[in-house]
Amino acid sequence: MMRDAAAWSPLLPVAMVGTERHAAPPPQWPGPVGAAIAALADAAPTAAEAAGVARAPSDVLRTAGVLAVCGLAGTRALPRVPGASPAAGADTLPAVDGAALLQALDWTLADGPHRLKQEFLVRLARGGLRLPHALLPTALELARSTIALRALVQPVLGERGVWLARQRDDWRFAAGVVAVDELDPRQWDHGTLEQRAAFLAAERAREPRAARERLGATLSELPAKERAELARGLAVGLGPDDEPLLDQLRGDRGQEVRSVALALLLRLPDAAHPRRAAARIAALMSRGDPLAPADWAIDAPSEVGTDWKADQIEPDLPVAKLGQRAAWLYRLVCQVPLPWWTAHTGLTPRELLAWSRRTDWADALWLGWRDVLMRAPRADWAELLLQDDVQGMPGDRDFALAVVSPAVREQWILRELASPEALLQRTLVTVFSGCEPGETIPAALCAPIVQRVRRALAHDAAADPGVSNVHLVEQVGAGHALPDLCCTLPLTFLADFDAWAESPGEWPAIARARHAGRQIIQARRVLASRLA
Amino acid sequence: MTLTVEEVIALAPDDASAKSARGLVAPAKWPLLGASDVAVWGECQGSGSKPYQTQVDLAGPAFRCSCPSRKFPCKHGLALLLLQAEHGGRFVGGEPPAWVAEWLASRGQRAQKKEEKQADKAAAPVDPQAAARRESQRWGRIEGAALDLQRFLADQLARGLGSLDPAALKTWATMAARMVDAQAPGLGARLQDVLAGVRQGEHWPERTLHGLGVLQLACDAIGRRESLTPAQQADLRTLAGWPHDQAEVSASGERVADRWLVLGVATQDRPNKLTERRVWLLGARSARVAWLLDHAFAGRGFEQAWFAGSAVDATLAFFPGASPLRALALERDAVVSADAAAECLPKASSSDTAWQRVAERVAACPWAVLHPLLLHDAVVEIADGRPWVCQGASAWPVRASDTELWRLLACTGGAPATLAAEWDGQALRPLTAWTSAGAPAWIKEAA
Repeated sequence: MMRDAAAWSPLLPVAMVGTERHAAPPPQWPGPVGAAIAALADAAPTAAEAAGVARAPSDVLRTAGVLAVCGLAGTRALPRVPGASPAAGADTLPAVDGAALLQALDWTLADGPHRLKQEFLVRLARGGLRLPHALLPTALELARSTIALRALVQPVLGERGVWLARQRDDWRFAAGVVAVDELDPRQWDHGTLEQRAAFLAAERAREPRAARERLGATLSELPAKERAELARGLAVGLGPDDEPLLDQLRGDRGQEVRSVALALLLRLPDAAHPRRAAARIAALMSRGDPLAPADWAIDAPSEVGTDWKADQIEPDLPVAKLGQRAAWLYRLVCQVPLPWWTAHTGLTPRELLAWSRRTDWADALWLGWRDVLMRAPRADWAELLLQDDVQGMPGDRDFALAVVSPAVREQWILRELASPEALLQRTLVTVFSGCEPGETIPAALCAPIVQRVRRALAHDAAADPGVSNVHLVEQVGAGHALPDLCCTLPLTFLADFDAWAESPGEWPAIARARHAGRQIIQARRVLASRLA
Repeated sequence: MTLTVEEVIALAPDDASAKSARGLVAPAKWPLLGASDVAVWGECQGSGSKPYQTQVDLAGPAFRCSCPSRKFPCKHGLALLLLQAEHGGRFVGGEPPAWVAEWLASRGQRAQKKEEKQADKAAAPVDPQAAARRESQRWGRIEGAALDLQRFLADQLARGLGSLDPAALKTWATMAARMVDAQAPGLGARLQDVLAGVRQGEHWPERTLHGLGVLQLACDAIGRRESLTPAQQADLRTLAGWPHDQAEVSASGERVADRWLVLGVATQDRPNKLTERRVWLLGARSARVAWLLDHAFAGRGFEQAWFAGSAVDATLAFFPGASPLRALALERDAVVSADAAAECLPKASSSDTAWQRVAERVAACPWAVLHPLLLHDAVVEIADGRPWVCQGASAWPVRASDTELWRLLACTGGAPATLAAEWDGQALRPLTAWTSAGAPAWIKEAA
C-alpha cells in the first residue's frame, strides 16, 4: 500500500518514460510543497552537474525526494474504516491466575500432548474459569486444527474469546454462529452436507417429529449420498413414529440409503419389518424337548420366499464361504434384531453361540449375528467378540471393547495385562481410548499397568540377548506409552515416576518420552494444586 | 536482582531454547543451587556423568555454562534463572564455589581492563593531523561514491523506470556493491532496499521513486557537506554507513541521566545471521526519546537485557546528529519497581504532539527511517479485512505478524489502550500496549 499515491501521479509519466523521451514541461504541485519543488529549477548547479551529471533526470529525483520527505513529515492519518467490531464486552468469568498455573497452561496448550490439553480445558471449565486473554489465539488456533477440542475450548473462551473468534473466518466456529441452544435454519438452507447433518441431529434431539418431517419433505431433491447421510441422523431419538419413513427409505433407489434404513429398523423390534423377519426365522426353528433349554433345531430355507424381494432380501447374491441355503439363512438372520433370539429361545448370547455350533448352520448364524451386532450394537452380544474361541475380523475386538460394559472391559484389560503374550502397547491403547477427556484410568487397572510398564522399562536387553526381541518390543511399547500414561494415571501412581528404573542401554526415544512424562506430571501437579 | 519468568524467557535466543529451559525447571535435576547478591550458580545433571556447571553474573546478566551448546544463553543458564524466579528458596546463599568465584573475578578484571583501555585510548595522545587526514580521505571516498551514484541514478531516470529489465537491475546490484567498496555501505544498502521493491506489488513506481528521491537528496547533501552543520554532517556519516566510534560517543556524546521507561523492544533478523535489536526508551523527567541499537550474531544473546514496560535509572550518551535519537546506555544504576515504572508512562498527550515530533525529526534529518510513537486511547481493530490502529476518526495501517496481531487484539479487546509503536513512514509496528495502570497488557515477542 502507498499512503499518498495521488501526490506522486504527476511525476509518473516522466519517471516511467525517462527524461530522454519525455518532452513535456515539469509537472507542478500546489501549496508549499509545490513551491519547494518549483524552487529546484532555480537552484544553482551542483557539484555533480559540474562533473557532467545531467540536470533533468536529477531534478526528477530531487522532486521525488521533496515529495518523499514532505510526505514523511506531513504524515496524515487515513479516515477510520467503518465496520470494525465494537469493543469486547466485559468478561464475567474469572481468568486463570497464578504464575505457575499460567506457565503450565501456556506450555500445555502450545506443546503439551492432546490428553493434557483436554484435562486442562475440562478442569478450567469445571472450575468456572476462563483462559487469560493472551492465550486466546493459541486456544482458538488449537480448536481450529483439532476439531475434537472445540467443545472443550468453547466454555473457557469468555466474552473476549468469542469476540476474537468473530473477527476471523477460520475461528468463527467458536463465535456463536450456531449458538448451543438456538438452531439457525440457515445451516439447513445454505449449509454444507456436514452442517445440514449436524443441524438435523440437533433438531432431532429436541423435536424428533419436526426433524423427521423436514427430512421427509426434502428427500426427493437430494442425491443418494446425501439422502443416506441425512437419514443416519434419524438414529438420534429413534422411535416407533419413525417406522413409516424408514419403511419408505428401505425401498429407496440408493443401496446405501436402503442399508441405513434397514440398520435403523433393527433397533425398532416392534416394527413390522423386523417382526416379519423374525417370523421367517421362527418358522425355520423347532423345539425338541421343552424341558431341555438348548434343545432347539434350525433348518435353512429350502426355497426363496415370494415376499423376500419386497423386504429387501436378495436371494441371488452369493455370500463368501456359504452355500446357497446357508446364504439364504444368513440373509434372513441379518434382518432379525438380536434381542429376539434371546427372548425366543430363552438362551443367553453365549449359550446361543454354543448352540449354533451344534447345528449345521453355524457359519450362517454367526455371520448374520455379527452383521446385526455391527449395525445395532449391544453390550451383551459384543462380549462374544472378546471370546478367545471366536474367530473375529480385524477391528472386531476394538469395536467390542467400545460397546461392552466398563466392568467387562476392565476384566478383559486385567487379563491382557497378566498375559505375557498380550502385546503391552495394544492393551495400553485400549486403556487410553476408554479414558474420557479429563478422566483418569480406573483405579483397579493402575497398579497392574504400572507394574508391567516398570518391568518392561527396567529390562536389560543386553544382559539377556536370547529373548531380547520380545522384551525389546515390550520395552519400546512401554516407553512409547509413557507420555499418555503420565496424562491418564492418577498422580498418586506417578509420585515416584523419577524412580521408574531405566534399562542400562535405554533408547534415546524412551529417554525423551521420560522427559516429556516429567513435564506432563509437573504440569498436572500444578493444575491439581491450584484447581483441586 | 531476580528476573521474572517473562523476563528470563525474553532473554532466550530462540523459542526452542526457551522450551528446553522450561523442561529443566525441576529442582531435582539440580544437585547444587547457589546464589549471592551478584550471581547465581548451579550444577545441572545432563546426559554425561559430570554435571554441567552453570553460572549467571546478574550484573549483565551474563551467562557461562560448561555444556557444549552453541546457543547463548544456553538452556541451562535460562533454566537457572527460571528456577530462581520460581523456587528462589532452594538456592543456598554464602560463598560461591571456586569455579564461580574465579569466573566472577576474571569478569571483573576484564571489565577493568576494558575501562583502562578506553581510558588509555581517551588519554592517548592522538595525532590530530593524522586523524584529520584519515577522516578527510574517507570523506573523499564517500563523496566520490555519491557522485558515481548520482550519475548512475540520472542514467536510470533518463531512460525511464519503465525500461528496467532484469539486465538493467543487475547493474543496480553492481552499483550497490561498489558503494560498499567505496566505504559508503549505507548508500549501497539503501539502493539494495529500493532494488528489492522494483516491479514488486502495487505502486512500485511510486515506492521506487520515493527511495531514489531520498537517495538523490543524500547525494546532494554529501556533495555540499562542508556547508552543513557538524550535527548534519554526523547524520550524513551515519547515512553513508560510517559508524561513530562508541568509545567516542561514551566519552563525548551528550549525556542524559534519567529514569528511562522501556517503551518497547523490537528484534528483527538481518542478513548474515545478524539479529538487530531496537530498544526504545522514554525519559520520565526529560521526556527525551532514545533508541538503543544492538546486533547479535548467530543467535547469541545481547549484553544488556531490556524489558518492555520496565524502567531503569540510567545515564545515556547520545550519538551526534541533527535530531539525536540513538544512544548508548552507559551506567545502569537500578531497575525500578513495577509500580514506579508504571508511573513513568505519560498519562495523556495529544496525538498531534506525537506526530509533530515526527515531523520535526524528519525536517531535521530526512533520512531517519524509524520513529517512536506513544499513542493514547489507541484502538487496534480489524476493518475491511485489514488491521488498523485508530484514534477517534483517524486510522493508521499496522505492520505485524499474524501471531503478534491476534495476541494484541486478544489482549486489548478493541478497547482504547496506550500503544508504543514504531512508525516507518507507511505503517505502525506495535511494540507494547497498556490497557490500565501497571504492567503492559501486551508486549511484542522477540522475533
